[in-house]
Parts: sequence; C-alpha cells; structure tokens
Amino acid sequence: MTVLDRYLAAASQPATTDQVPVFDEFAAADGTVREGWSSLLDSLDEFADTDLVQAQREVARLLEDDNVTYTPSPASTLSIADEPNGHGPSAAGTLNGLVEPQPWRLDPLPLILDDREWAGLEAGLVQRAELLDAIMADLYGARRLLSRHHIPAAAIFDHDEYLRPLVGSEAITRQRLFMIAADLGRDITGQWKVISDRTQAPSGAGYAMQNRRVVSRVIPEIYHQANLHRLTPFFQAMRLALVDAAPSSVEDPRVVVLSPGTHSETAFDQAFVASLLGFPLLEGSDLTVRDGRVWMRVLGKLDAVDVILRRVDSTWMDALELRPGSRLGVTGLMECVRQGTVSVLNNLGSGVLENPALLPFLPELTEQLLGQSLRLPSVETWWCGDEAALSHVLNNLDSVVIRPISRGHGRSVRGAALSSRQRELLVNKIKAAPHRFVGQEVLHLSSAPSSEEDRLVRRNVVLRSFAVRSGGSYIAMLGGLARVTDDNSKGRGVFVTEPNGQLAKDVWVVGSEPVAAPRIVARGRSGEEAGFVPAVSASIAMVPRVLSDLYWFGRYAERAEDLLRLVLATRTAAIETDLDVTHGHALEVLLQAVTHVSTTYPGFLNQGVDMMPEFRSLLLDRHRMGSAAQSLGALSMAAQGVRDQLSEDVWMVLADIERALAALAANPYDQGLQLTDASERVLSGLLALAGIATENMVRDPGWYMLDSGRGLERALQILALLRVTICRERAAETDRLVLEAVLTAAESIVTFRRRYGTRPGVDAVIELLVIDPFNPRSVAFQLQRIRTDLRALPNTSPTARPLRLLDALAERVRIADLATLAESTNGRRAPLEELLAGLQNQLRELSEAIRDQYQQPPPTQRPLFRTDAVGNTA
Amino acid sequence: MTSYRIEHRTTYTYESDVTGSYGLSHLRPRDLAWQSCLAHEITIEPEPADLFRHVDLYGNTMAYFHVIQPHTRLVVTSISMVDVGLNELNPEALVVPWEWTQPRLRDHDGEAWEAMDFTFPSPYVDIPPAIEDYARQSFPAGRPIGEAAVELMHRIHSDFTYRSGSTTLRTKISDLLEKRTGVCQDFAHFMLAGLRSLGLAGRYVSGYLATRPAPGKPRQAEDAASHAWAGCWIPGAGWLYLDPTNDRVIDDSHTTVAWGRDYGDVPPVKGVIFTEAKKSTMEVSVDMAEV
Repeated sequence: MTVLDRYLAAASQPATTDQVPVFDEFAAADGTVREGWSSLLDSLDEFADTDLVQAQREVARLLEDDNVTYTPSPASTLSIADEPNGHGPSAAGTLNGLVEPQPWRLDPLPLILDDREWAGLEAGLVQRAELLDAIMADLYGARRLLSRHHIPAAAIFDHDEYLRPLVGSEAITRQRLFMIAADLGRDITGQWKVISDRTQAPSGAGYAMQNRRVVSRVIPEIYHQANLHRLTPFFQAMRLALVDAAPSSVEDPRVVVLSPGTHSETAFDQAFVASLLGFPLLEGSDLTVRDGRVWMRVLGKLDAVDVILRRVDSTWMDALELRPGSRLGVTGLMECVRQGTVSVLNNLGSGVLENPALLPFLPELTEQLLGQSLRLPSVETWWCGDEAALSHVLNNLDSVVIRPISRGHGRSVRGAALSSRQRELLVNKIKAAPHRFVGQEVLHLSSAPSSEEDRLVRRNVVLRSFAVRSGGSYIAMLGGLARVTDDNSKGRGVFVTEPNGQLAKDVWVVGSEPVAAPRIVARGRSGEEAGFVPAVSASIAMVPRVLSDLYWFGRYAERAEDLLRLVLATRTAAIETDLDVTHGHALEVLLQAVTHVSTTYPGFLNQGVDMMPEFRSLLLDRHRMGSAAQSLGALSMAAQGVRDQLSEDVWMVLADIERALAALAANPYDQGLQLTDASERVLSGLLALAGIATENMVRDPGWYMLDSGRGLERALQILALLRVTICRERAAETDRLVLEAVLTAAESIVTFRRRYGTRPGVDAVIELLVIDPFNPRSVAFQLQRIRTDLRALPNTSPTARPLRLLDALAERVRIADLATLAESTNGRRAPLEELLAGLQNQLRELSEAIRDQYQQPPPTQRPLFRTDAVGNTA
Repeated sequence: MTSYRIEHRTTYTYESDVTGSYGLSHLRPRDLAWQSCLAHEITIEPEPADLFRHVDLYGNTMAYFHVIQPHTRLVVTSISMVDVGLNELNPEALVVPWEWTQPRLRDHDGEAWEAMDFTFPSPYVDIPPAIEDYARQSFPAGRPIGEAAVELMHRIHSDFTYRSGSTTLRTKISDLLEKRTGVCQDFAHFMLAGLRSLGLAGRYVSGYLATRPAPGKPRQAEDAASHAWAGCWIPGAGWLYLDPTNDRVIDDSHTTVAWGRDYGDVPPVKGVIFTEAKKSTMEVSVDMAEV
C-alpha cells in the first residue's frame, strides 16, 4: 500500500459519529481521486512513496537560500476577548520588543484544483472585486448606500478605516480599487465560501509566486507533466494596472512600492513583489510632498512619483491628516490624493471594505449595484447591530466566531473556546456596542493531504486568492496561497488563520488539456508593454536610505572579510610558533592586533585569554560589537533594506554563510579544525558576494555607493592593522613572523614575495600596502577607487567636500617618504604612526562627508505646536 | 444681526530653523441660515509655496499650506468679516420626547443617517459607562428634547469649574468626570459624550465668542477668544447649539467656524514641521470687533 493509498483510504472512511464529515481535496466520498489530481496520480504516488522526506528538506533549503521569511506581528496576538493592557494570556512572549523573522514554511505537495471548478471560483472572485469597487466608490462618493439604508450607517461611521477627509473628493471616486484578496474555505459540501476580504493592502501574491518557484524546482517532473496555469499573467496584469492607474496627464508614469520597512510582517512579500514588477521598494522617508505632489528624494534632486502601491495601512499614510506622528507614510499625501496628482493603490480608506458587517448585505448589494446575483457566498454572518442577529449570536455563542468590525480591535475568537471570564468580558463588550461585532458560522474547512515526515496527513486548508484590476474589470490569479494548520488535533475553523504555526501550499490550477500561452490585453499607453520585462531605468532607486544601505553593505562585507583573513593568518602563525605567547613574541602581537583591529576589547589584551574560545566568540557572537557575526548580521540587515536592488544570488550566498556558522556553533568541542573550516567557508562566501557585485550588478549609483563603502572600509582596516603591528621595532624573528601574517591578512603576500623576495622590510610593506597605487589591497588604491566611484555619482561637483577630502588624503600618501617612515627611534616608528593615525582620521571624516552628501535622511518630523485648549476666556 | 471683523493670529516660534512646515487650518466662518461670511482672508508668513482650499465632508472650508522657506517664526493670520443673527429653531421640534430623536431609531427620516455620524465615540470623545449615568439624570423618559438638553448644559456649567491649563488634549471624559475642571473645549466634549451615551447625535462646533465690555469700559482685544460649544440634533429642525461654558443657547455673539465629531476634526490650525528644533512656543490672539 502506498502513502497515497493510505491517505485515500483514511480520507474516504465514513466519519465517526462525533466527527464532522469534512470535504477532502484529494479523496472523493466514494473513494476515488478528485479531478485535477487524477491525471497526475501515478507521479504523485511515486513521489509520495519515495521522495517525500527529501523534498521537504529540499524545500526548506531553497527557502533558506532565498531568505524567505515571515515576521509574526505582536499586535495580532491579542484577541477581542482578552483584557487590554497586554494582560491577556496570548500577549505573553511578545513583550520584549521586536519579533524575529521566522522561516517561511512550505509543503512540497501542492493543493491541486481542476480548472473547471476553478472557473466558478474565479468568476465569483472577479464579481466580488467589482462589487467591492462599487461599494468603495459609493462610500467615498454619493453615499447613496448609506442614505438609502442598503448598508447600515453605524457599520461604516464607527469603522476605524472610514477616512472622512477623503469623502466627496472627486479624485478618489475616479480611482478604481486596484486589487483584492479573499480568504476562502470550503464547507462540508465542498462549496467555497469567503471567510474574509482583504482590501487594505493585500499581501501574499509574492509568497504565492515564491512557492511556485520552489515547488517547481523540487518536483520538476510533476510540474512539467501538469497542465498548469501560470502565475505570470497575474503579475503582468498587476504591472499594467499600476501604470494605467496613473493620473491621466502623465506620459511615462513612475510607480513605486511603499513598504513599512524591513521589520514588517510581510517584508519578504513586499520586496519580492516590487522586484517581480520592476518597481523600486521605498519607505516613507524616501518620499516627500511639494507643490501638491509626491516626489522621491534622489541624489540632489526630486523625481516625481505618479503611482504608489502601498503596503502601509491607510491610517499611517499621512501624519498631517491621519495618524499624527506616523513616519511610515508621507506627510501631505492626502492633499495630493485630493488634488489627483498621485494615485495611491489600493485607494486610501479601502480598509473599510474589510468590514465583516458588510457580508450579510452583499447579496442585496450585488443586485443593487451590479444587477447580478452574488456568485461566491460568504460564510454566514450575523451583524450584531441588528437586534435579531444580536440575539442569535448571544444565544449561539458556542457555535460562532466573533469578529470585531474593525481589524484593529483585536483578533477574532471562537465562542466555544472562551473561558468563562473571557466570555463574560466579550458579552459585555458586545452588549455595550453591538454594531461593532459580527458572529460568523464556524466553517469546517476542507482537508488536504499534507506532508509530515514520510506520511501524508489531513490538514484543514484556507485559500487566499487574488484579483487585480484589468481593463474595465478584474482578473484573478490562476492559483493562490494556501495555508494549512500545523496539527490536526482540533484545528478546525478560523484558527487556521492564526498568525503562527502555518504551513503554506502552492496552489495548482490544472486543466485536462495543455494550457495555451497566456494573453494579456494591453490597452492605451501600456500597449508597448508586451513582455514581462522590468523597466530597468525606472527601478533604480537612488534615495538616500537605499544608498546608505548599499554603502554599509559594502563596508560590513569588507569588515567581515578582513577580520576572517586576520584570524586565519593569526591561526597559521600560532601553529608555526607552537602557540608561543611569550610576551613580546609574534603571536602575542598578532592576537592583540586582532582585538585592536576588530575593536572587540578587552579580548586578547587581557592576560591569559585562550585563543580558541576567543576566536570562536569573534566568529559567532552576534551581540559582540566588532565580531564577524555582528558584521554579517548588519550586512544581512542592510541587504534586507535593499532587497529589490540585489541579485537573488546574494541570498543564496548569505544562507551558505549562515550554514557554515551554524555548523561551527553546533560543535562546542571543536579544537580549531572546524573553526578554520567555517572561517574559510564564510570567507569564500564573502568573496562570492564581491564577485556578484563585480560581475552581476548594474553600474548604477547604488553600485558606486556599495563599492566606495567597500574601498573605504578596506583602507581603514589596513591602516588599523599596520598601526598595531609595524609601528614598533621588535626582534628580527618576531618582526618577520608579524610582517608575514600582516601581508597574508592583507592578501598581498604573493605579490610581496614576487616583488621583494623574502627580504622582510617594513619599508617594503609600507610601500605595498599604503603607497602602491596598483595593489588592489593598498590604501592608495582605495583612494583612487573611491574617487572613481564618487565621480560617477550624480550630484558630485569637483569641489564637493568628499572629493576635496580625497584630494587631501591622496596628497598625504603621495608625499610620504618611505625612508623616514621606516626609520625607528627607540624601537618606535613615530612618523609612521602619525601618518597612519592621520589617514585614519581623514578617512572617517570622508565617510561622514559621504553620508552628508548622498545619504542624508530628511530632518526630524514633529507635530506643529499644539495648544491644549482653544479657549482663553470663560 | 451683528457684524464683526475677526482677526485671529497664531504665531509659532522655534529655537532653530524649520525647513518645512505642512499645515491645515479651519478658519473661515461658515455660511449658515443665521450667519454669512462676507469676506475672509488667510495670510501665512513666510509665504507658503502651496495654499489650497477645500470644502470637507461636513461643509467646512479648510486650507492646506506648505511653507518651504526655512524659518524660525510662522504666523497664520485669518481676517474675516461676518454677519451673525439668531439660529431660531421651530419650537415644536424641541418638545418631542428625547427618545424619538435618536438617529438609529429613525429609519424613516431621510436625514437621520447623516446624524448617525455624530452618535459614536470619536478620538477625543470616549464614552465611559459613568457618563451615561451623569447624562441620564437630565433625560427621564419622555422629557422634551429641548428641555432635557438645556438642563444637561446647566448642570455641566454648574458642576464644572473653568480652569485654563487643567486639561490637555489627552484628557479623557472619565478624567473630566472626576476632576470637574476644564476649558470650553472640554465642556463641549463632555456634553457630546453625554448626548452620545444616550444614542443622541452631538456635534462639536469651533468658533468665536464676542464678549461685550462692561458698561463704560473700553473694549479689550483679549475679550474675544476662539471658543467651542456643542450641537444636539433635533429631527426636522436642525441642531440646537448649546454653550455649556457660558450656560446659554448660542446667540449673535457666537460666530460658527467649523463643526465635526470633535476638536480633532476641526482644529483652527494643525501641522507637521521638519526641524531639529526641540523647543517651540505658540501664541494665539483673537480680536473680534463689532462693526
């Protein structure tokens, strides 16, 4: 009996009396396999029997390679039945600040749906998008639905996302709803029902595409065998719709994606969608409002922005008119929206459509607004603002899910799962403001085969599907993002939508015939956008934040690389000297150099510090300033901030580096062998990063910034190393060992030997590592490199401060006299020490000048002085 | 009918340069059955790069401005010429039992849906349970709405002490209930909370109050002030505007500028500045002269 046979047998067994007989996605009630799966049955059978475990590992590795993550949001853990002030049981564990990103988890086995069945769902989804769009237009326009009581006014006026400053604005009523998502589940008859609508800033389309990419690589044979509908047309449509949404007077609109930042829940999804579409990923501080329109702050100038695809919730979008103090949006944006100079998508205020109080009214609204009947039902919903519905909900609390009408008021709860204390609290809350709550039927959801080690188990599934504006209507993604519960104990119903413990599934819509190549109807100015080619020039974001992240990407990569080289060179010296740490001998000098250069004090400056544990800490301790792990962590953070600017190979390399360090961390008894191995692996990863930057990155301002960061850091590292090694004269044998290690760490030993033979000479070392303009490891070389980089940047006049500082630096190096520098008096080389220290200071000044010139963030934003009272007489 | 010239000047000073200042103002008096705004002008120093006017959802005129010239002093001056008469309500509408005036029970009433907007808690008007107990004392079953609302105003006036600086924008209704001190804005918010706790529609009104000098004394500029009061919806008649600070129905000394759910919808001036300055001060002067 195969794994699939066993699943089939289990799923088609009649339910026991205390179980609800749920619909299974794979097995029909008569024990046969459902349409869609059946044509792939043999391959699936073989796969499930032999490759299941391996495939799960492979999926995890690919996701890790691409750094696909999800960050659970602390806010979403508090339910409406918990007491406020964070005393609820579920608020525990999120109190100490930021939540770490969690790895995205994906089942190699997709959810398969037959395209004939899908067609019904798709039509329903498209209709729903049209309906929600029409409701939106009315709520912010004529408001006939309210005045004629088609929608109860209480459900809108007391909703957090109804943005009054936009009501009646002509520009906003002209703007169509751009995209919707719907979370769907099946009831026990197999009917799909909408559990909730996502209209604020729907997330997940990027994850869906990522899932598809991974699954297609892990099970390529089945993927190619399936008559699979592709996801690409959806993203093409998205791109067209974004361009089409620009204010009508704009010829070649600039579109940007606005993210709340790298700490947001779906940061990966945002960055991935931005790079799929070829539009820059920005944050609020990258934009500014002037002359009644939105601009992107690029090097020394402002570039007009026409369309903003927002992933920031509406109420955070403007500190002037919406939430005061918000820095996630753009101050003055609402005015631009009213003036019609920018299109924000989804429209500001679209969150009001997520209101579950609308659900009971949708069938009638479809008749009213579209003259049709509602195709895709919602889960049965009772709006408590209606007296009969209220008493139904209160009398049947155990069999419903309670949801607040505004998402921000807390997570939904299932009545049956409440403690008596919570129940009392919730009932009182409902009675105090019934219109703020709905009760919903508990959907039993369908089950789908899901991998768990070498078995397939039944898991409840929720499907997020997407529709985007296309021409005069909408088109749906032929696929979606499915999520299944983590364990099958009692996870029925809404709990599958809880933030934690989910496994994603790719969604395959398959036909019985090969699928024809997708066609997309282009219209108007988008006619030339035939292929799916990201607009290269438009995707270059030269905003200060991005330039700063790339600069630090370069600096941290170099800093980590140089420390690893020094550690490796020191370890080699340690073996050569048989661990002779006698005072004044070479190894002591080098160990202390490691501490000085990395600034990981006190480190080896303390007496009797063991070498191996200290090296280990320098590699692994993320919280230790100056450690390689800290540099690598910062490198990764900088990369996150500019994800859309970087090649996907970068993530693969970073994942490899992580794995190398993890392997070392996993072996606490290492005597040095693994440490060397890990260092070498990390080093080769960093070299790969340098290679990617040289070979694969477009020479745009971002690249020049990255490269100048690398050059500046390298120069600083060389100077720091020389300062603590060659400024003193020691015994000849000690000096020989030290110089050799320094040259090895500076990756110049081969050149040195070729040029100077084996004659160890401080003057030769200074020449090669400081003055020689042809050695790519020398200070002089870095100065030239930074000059070339900066001159390639816009907004750089020949008299710009960074260039003037570079001139001074270069001059100081040029006039340096080798003989004087190499000379020692009383064992010290004072002139050399002075030169090196002076160059270090000037380089730090240069770094600040670069920051001021190219990476300056906008000034701090504050509220205008607010009086506490308007009256001053009685 | 009384005519006024109103000059309202708000001056902000900063300890160091402000490089950008975005502002929004509600300063133009409204045109109403009992009031006309004959002329209105806003001047902003330094001169803003942008100045746009809009009419908002409630019919208030607002102005958006953006100053890009670096400055350490921002002055917003509004000069308005306005004629104010008396808002006369149909006395019959005021004697209906108060329960009938709850918008949520008036599905048949074509205006009730809009009044619904003023029946819920809003950012500056929370509705703690105790406020209902306070308000209900003036609203026994079947009492005429006009009488009940006016009594609520009397009680607020006599229970509360006017004290500048005793409250802030973060003061909650429950704090007011406990401390019983505040300024006109607090009294207006408190009255709105009371009306809304009973399901009635209450709106916040921002405006000016002219105070007449004592006989024989010259008029003082500081006699006038920006002021706030509350409106209670009366089906079929409009709104009954009550000034709990001065314990009277508004009259021709009250100039109406803007209304909304609470102060937050209609502050005279609000804004966001870009600066490294830590300290700033604000000074307001209102000169309201009968002409």
